[in-house]
Amino acid sequence: MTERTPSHSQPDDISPDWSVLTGPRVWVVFGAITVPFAVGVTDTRLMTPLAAPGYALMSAMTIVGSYLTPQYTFWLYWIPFCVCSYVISVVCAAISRN
Amino acid sequence: MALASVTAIGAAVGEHGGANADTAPRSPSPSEAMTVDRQRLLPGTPQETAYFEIDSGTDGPTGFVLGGVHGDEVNGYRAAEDIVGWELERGSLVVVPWANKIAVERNTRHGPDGDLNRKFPADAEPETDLARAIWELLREYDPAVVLDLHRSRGIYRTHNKWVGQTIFPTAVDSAPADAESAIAYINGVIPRTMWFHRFTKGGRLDGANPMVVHKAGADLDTPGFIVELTDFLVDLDTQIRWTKLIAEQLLARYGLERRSPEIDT
Repeated sequence: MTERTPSHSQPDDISPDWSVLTGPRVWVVFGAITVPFAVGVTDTRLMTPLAAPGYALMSAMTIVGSYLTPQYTFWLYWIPFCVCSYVISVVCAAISRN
Repeated sequence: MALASVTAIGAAVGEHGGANADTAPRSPSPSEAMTVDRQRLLPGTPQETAYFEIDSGTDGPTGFVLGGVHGDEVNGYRAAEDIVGWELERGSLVVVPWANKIAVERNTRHGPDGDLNRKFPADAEPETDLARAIWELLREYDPAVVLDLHRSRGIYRTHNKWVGQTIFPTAVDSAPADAESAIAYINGVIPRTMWFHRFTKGGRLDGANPMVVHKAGADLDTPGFIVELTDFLVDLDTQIRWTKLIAEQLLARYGLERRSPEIDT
């Protein structure tokens, strides 16, 4: 009798690693960028140095945007701000894994 | 010390009930240590609005404060409402909190005659009844200093076209230096990490534009300031607080010190 040995060529080896996009490191960085800044916007007295990254990012976006699309109110920039913060978070998380 | 002489202050709220409770004018709370007279501009017309003369009872200069020239710049008229309650060491203040009352009630920049702050050409008659009434009031009191309190969407020389976080002085006497002094003070209050929100001094107001402070400088040779805040990343309470701190600094430069200065945080 011969024993059948399990195959080592199962396809799950090549399944995508979603933690690169949604893992805890991503959300920690995302929160670090957005939460202190959002708190500072609700009450400027709470605009601590922790809010500086979010402040710099939002300011840079609106400065550029005020030249490209001056008709838009600055509140609309919260949407691309969150998207940019997420992209930055993914990049930072990926770097920290390597 | 003068006793309070408050004339129908409480009526202000009922007369100025805006659609939005957050932006509707509020009744000022004058100090009982001051003599406060409430008067009316353009009485009996749709644009009727109140102004307040606050007298310390001690001889001194007169200051003139305008809020609500643009009806959607809430910090300006909220700060002016609070200034009505200030106690002065000497002199007097004339405060017009809701200069463009209809625009304030609608929470819009313009009133029925358009942009009120484009109706004051230098060396010429103001172009609307409301502008003429404000100008006549200003001439009547012949103030030592004029403040016009505003707000902009973006930041001067940072965002394209916007003028927030700026003090624009008239080209009269020490007004530019006084603006710099107030700027140095307020920049010490702004959180250090808000680099872009640091105040700057704007160009001198010399009558080139048909604005009330331009005209005051050009026609009356009166020191004056347009104070521009921004609502970009700054909550309304902070806008109002910064507006009052700047007003306090500028008025003090002209001998109008408060008995209890604004406490900043």
